[in-house]
Amino acid sequence: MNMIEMGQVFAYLLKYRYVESKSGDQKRHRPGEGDIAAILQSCSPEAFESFQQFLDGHGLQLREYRDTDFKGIAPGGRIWLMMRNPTGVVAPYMGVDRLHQMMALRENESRLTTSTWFLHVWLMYLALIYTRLGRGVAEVSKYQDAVFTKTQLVEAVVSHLEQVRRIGVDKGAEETVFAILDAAKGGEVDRRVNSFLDLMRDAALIVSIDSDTYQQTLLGAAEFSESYGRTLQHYLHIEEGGVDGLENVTNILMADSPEENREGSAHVSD
Amino acid sequence: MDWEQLLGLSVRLLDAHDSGHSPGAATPVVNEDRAGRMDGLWLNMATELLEYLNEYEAATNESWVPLDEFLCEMSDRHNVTEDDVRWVVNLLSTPTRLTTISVNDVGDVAGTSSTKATALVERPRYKTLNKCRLTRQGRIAVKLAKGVQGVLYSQYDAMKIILALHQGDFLSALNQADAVNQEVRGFSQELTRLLEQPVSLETREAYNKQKDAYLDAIQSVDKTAEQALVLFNTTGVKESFSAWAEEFGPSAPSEAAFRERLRDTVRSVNSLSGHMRSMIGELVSAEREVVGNVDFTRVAIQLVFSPPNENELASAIMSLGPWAPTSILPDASDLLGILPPTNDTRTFTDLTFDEAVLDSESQTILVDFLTTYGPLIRETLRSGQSVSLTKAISEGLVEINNQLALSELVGVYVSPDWLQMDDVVLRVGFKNNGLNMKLPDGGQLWGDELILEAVPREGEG
Repeated sequence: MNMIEMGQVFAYLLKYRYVESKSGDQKRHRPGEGDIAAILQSCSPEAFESFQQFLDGHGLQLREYRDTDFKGIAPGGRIWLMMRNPTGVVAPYMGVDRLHQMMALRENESRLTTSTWFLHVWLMYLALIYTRLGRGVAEVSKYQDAVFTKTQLVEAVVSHLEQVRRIGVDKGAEETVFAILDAAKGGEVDRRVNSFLDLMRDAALIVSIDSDTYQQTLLGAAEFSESYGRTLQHYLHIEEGGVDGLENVTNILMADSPEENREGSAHVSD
Repeated sequence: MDWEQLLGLSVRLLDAHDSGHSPGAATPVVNEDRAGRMDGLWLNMATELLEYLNEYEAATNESWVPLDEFLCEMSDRHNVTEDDVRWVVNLLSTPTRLTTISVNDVGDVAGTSSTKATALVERPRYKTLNKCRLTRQGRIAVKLAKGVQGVLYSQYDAMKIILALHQGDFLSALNQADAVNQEVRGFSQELTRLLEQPVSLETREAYNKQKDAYLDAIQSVDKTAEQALVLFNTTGVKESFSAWAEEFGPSAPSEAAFRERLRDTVRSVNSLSGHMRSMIGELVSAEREVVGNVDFTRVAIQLVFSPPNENELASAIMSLGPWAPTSILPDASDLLGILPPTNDTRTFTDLTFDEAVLDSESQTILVDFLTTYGPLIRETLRSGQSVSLTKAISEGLVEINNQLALSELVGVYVSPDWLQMDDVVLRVGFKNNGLNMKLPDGGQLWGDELILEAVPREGEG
């Protein structure tokens, strides 16, 4: 792999995020994929290592898998995934500006609003493809089982919002988050979910199977499994198997019966 | 595939299991006939389904197998509806309970145990898709029917490729190669799957015990597969191949295609033998940690109670959310480095604070600046007036010989010693945000105002 080829491979990966050497029955090659795969397939271990080092400077890494590793890779085929390095430094050009633009429904919606929405739709998506399937975070192999429909995701988000509203600020929901999620009006969830799916698909973390059905990609599963413990779990303070103080949550949700109006005006200060 | 044998081996065992005969009661007559239609209709569809799933999986390495073609083929063959065929899928995918008695070391009954791991096929949880696949049990059933006994025995299967090549039985060589390939791939994927889960002590011990046997088997398969490839390239075998292909007719594989199939096997085995040592090593290690199930629905609720702060949230999204390059066009500042330095105020003389340099012939901007403006600044300071940056700029002290001398001017405030006024004490002060000036080159300078003043040495407190 000479410098020109290295540039071609990197440019391709920036757009498509992974390369497959053979297209299976159910998939078609993306434009230029065959050429890029040929470069990677024929490159020497030294050149591959140089490319890894180049990517390392971008906070990225390249993973290679074969049909002997996972289902979904055509017989005799290989796949190369460009993944974020959980311990690397994020390159300055990598950003989530588009995420905020797309998640926003109104002009001047704050980043806190768009990120909060993204987070909650994201967690519902993760619940569909991990929790619902009884699938551990490390179970990359099951990525082809991780199929869900847009309708299911919308329903999951709607039911999450209902639960949030039932909890309300008086039972301990944080005011800002509550205000953001509670403000959702009819059709809004649908639009945010659409944006979420578009973003995930453009980043090659999911693929659409048909108009309503999506599946996690091997890239999505591998990156999630590798990075979860060091990043998401850490930033969101998720304990092994749950979150801090979950008993309280369960208690509150269980004791869902309308309680007597205890000190209804306690929050009115100022 | 020999389903008849597989069924024959287990049918009476199943009768024993299903028998309602109570101990002590009159012994019932054992019937030679079996219940049912006795035409093999449903059994044929069931075994065809298992074979179809196995073949499809081998050819595509996909998780789920679309059933449309199978449904169509079966309903045509047996003149039944597609729903009839679907019933067979349903039958094979519904688990049933089997109960067995376990006996301890001294021969006493230790208890009964039961399993429901009997479904041979499974369907996706999302029922919208017309797909299905073999379960682990289904795969074993196919394997047993094929007489294949696992990766440990693949070395013998690999040898059969060589035997078949010698015999000129190329079709059988191809089938053997595919079988080895599939076995190796399946075993490798099974190892990957095991690595993704917490593994029971028994499994760990089983792998630990058989570790060397597995490694030996794979290495031997590896060697044999390569031998087969070499053998195929010899003149004798090539000649016998073309003779065979001619006899076989137009549907015979080309020599290149045949070689590619053998090469596929070699590649699979190669890649497995490369990984296996570390995979099994990792699998049997007790310290291995895997992240298991997380209830993300509850996590979402918890984060309504105690959300991450904005920075944590941004980091979480950046680390695993969908990212995109922020700009397609480079920023103008990215290009500055390649522009010719028309305004370069750097000097390439080493900075030394030796007076000899100041007196030297090489006139740097700094020297020019100090010789030209130094006297003016000194005079102003001696008269008791202060010199602010704003004042200096407005009086043109920021330019010399048509070149910008901003760094030199600011340098005076940083190192007042340059003015060489040993008889007074020079003090530099600043006024917050007191500066906002237009520079001769069109730039704007704003920030803290710098003020330089001289205080007599004597009489200072």
